Amino acid sequence: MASILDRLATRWYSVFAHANGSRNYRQRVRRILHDRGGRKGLVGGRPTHKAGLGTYDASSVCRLLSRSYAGYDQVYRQLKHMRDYNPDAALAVWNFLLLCNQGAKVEVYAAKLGSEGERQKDVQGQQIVDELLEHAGHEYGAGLLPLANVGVLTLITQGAAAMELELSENLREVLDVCPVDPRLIDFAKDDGKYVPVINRPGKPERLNTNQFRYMPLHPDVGDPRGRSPLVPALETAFFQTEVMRDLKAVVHNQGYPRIEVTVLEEIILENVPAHLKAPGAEEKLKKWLDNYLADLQTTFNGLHPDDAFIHWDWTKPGYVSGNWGGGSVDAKKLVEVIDTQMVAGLKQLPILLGRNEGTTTTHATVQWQIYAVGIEALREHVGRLLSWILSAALQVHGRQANAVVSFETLRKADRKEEAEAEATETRTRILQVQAGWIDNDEAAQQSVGHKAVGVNMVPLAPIKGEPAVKEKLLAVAGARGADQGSDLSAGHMPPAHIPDWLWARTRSTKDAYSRRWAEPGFGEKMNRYLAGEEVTEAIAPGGNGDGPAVRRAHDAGAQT
Amino acid sequence: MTDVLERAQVGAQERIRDKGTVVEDLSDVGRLVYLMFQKTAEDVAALADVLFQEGRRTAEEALLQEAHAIGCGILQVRLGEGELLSWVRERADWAAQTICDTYNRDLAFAIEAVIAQYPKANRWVIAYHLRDWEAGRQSWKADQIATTEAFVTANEAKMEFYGMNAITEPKAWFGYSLICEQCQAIAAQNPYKLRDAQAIGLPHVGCLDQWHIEPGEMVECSELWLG
Repeated sequence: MASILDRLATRWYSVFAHANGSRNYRQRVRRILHDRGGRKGLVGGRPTHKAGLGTYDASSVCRLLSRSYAGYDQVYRQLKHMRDYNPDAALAVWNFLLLCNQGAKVEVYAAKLGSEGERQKDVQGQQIVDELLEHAGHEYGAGLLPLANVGVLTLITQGAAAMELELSENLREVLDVCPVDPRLIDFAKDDGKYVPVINRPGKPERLNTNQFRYMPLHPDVGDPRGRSPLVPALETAFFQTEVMRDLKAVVHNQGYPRIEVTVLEEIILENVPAHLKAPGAEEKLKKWLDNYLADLQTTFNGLHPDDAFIHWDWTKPGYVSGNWGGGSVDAKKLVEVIDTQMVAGLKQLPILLGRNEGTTTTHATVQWQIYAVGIEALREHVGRLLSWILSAALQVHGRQANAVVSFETLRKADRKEEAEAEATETRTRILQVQAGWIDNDEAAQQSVGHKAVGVNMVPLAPIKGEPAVKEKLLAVAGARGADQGSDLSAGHMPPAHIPDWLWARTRSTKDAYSRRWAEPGFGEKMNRYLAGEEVTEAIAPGGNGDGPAVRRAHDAGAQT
Repeated sequence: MTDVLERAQVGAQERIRDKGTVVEDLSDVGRLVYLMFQKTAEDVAALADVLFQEGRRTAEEALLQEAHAIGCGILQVRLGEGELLSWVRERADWAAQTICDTYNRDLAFAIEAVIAQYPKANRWVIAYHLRDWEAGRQSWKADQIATTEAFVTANEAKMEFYGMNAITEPKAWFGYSLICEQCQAIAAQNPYKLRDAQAIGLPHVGCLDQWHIEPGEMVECSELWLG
């Protein structure tokens, strides 16, 4: 049926579209095709809402895949709490988000490949995606980066990212691209495979995977939920919080100097009323002394910071200074242990959490490279998710095309190191060309991604029967654009450098000339002259041009 | 500024004056110094031999590089008897002669300048000042001569290469440094036919510009002319 409609539509298009020259015909044909069965498998609105999300809590029911400890809702809440309130975890998430989202772009390619198997850009598809991204994810700021940001955040907090397409009821328009909280998604087996479901009491509702995609991070076998990279930090974060509370108590008790008042018992006893000194009045005496001390304590505690100390000489005020460390745990070392655990648990580098630990440049470079690979892995998950969701949106619009989301490259090495490595690789390729293993075009493809365009090609190794590559040179010479030249050399420009071999020949000529010029040397002549040797002028046959040739005085035997 | 202009005018007048006249006008001591230090025919011949050897290697290297540039895997070029080798020989002779002539002329003017500055200078005083003059001159002259000879010879070999091996007319583009008005004027008329480029050559001493040849159809590598 579909093929008949296709043929009919194609015929219709070929007859009317060209006759009218209007793009509307193509769109009308597509619309008719899709109205008659071309949108099978799609539903209007949001799949999660159709499946009942928002009306039921996602508590576990039978037949659903049971959640691991890290998949419990409580753990998710703890992770979110830690992520938002623990300074280290918050900084780690900050780092993840900022490093993951340093810029992204989406490119649309037609599903049909070009004549040489190359991908072809789909301009109309690109326009559709660009227009969609102007409002997609408007709850989060609208656009590619806000959506990617939400995706990365759920990926690192909950170990998965999920998004869905919201369609109009007539299935012709993509209303929105909506991130979905992965913790609300359960999995149940259908035909032996786990599929995402919404947990409705008694009956899990399967989600429409034509519009919904769940992207787990490092899932276990038999558990497609994914794993949050922050989970190990929970244990350390709890311990860190307890230690901080203990430290707070210690600081309150020992961290600050306090007033110490010594009461001279002997003087007090001398001034006790006589009846209290009598035998059998010990209890009364003790009570009297206790009250006396209690009064003193109340008095001193009630002093304002700027009150003067006025007291009898049987009290002796003083200060007890703060005591850090004596006999207690070394807090610094304890915190260092926690720091190490936090850095590992949060998948961060010490420097990224504000810990300036000493390390060698080599170690730092390797650590950063490993970390950058982790960042790229996170990006790749979100990129694949967004690519899929935007490709699905293109199909809703009737475009057989693929959207490809890519992120800005994260620098992994020092520019100088990269340049040195590239120089080494380039020299290796030149050697490979000279050895006859590859040609200039292959070397150029590997080095710069296109065929060789220079006229100063690496000399090819002599190959028997190999024709000259002058065709390349003809193309090459024409390809050297005016942008390389000055305004004075219209169109083309000669090579932008003097070749090394010519400089080498220049140096060789200079050396030879200088050596020859120094013999019979000005210095030698000078010495002879200063020694008294003299010459007389004579014109020698075959003299040196317009200069008078000479005959030396001792040859001519003449004196001047 | 005035001082500079005066010196420039004096320099121009010196160039107009004949060197022979300058030598004749020198004092006896000055003339003797000149005769002692001037370059002779022997010097010219020896220098010509050196320039020829270097020029020959430059021409061979230029031919080799041009062969590689059109994709012919040539291992070595040995310049045999022929027009190009003769040209290199003549160029070396001519260059050695002019180098020595220029030196002799500069020497005469230098001696005259020393005597003008120290009218009572004896031979030792003149020799002392000539030592500094010679060192200063050589510091830039050697580079100028080497650059000129190497570039001109390489250019001639390149022109001959394309002249002999091109089946269709190549185009020639002039440029690179374009630091003087003369070169800029030539580059402004790019591109040139090969024969026109060959006629223009490198326009002045110490020219750092080059002719870049955009080859048309060339002969097969097996039939390549290489001197």
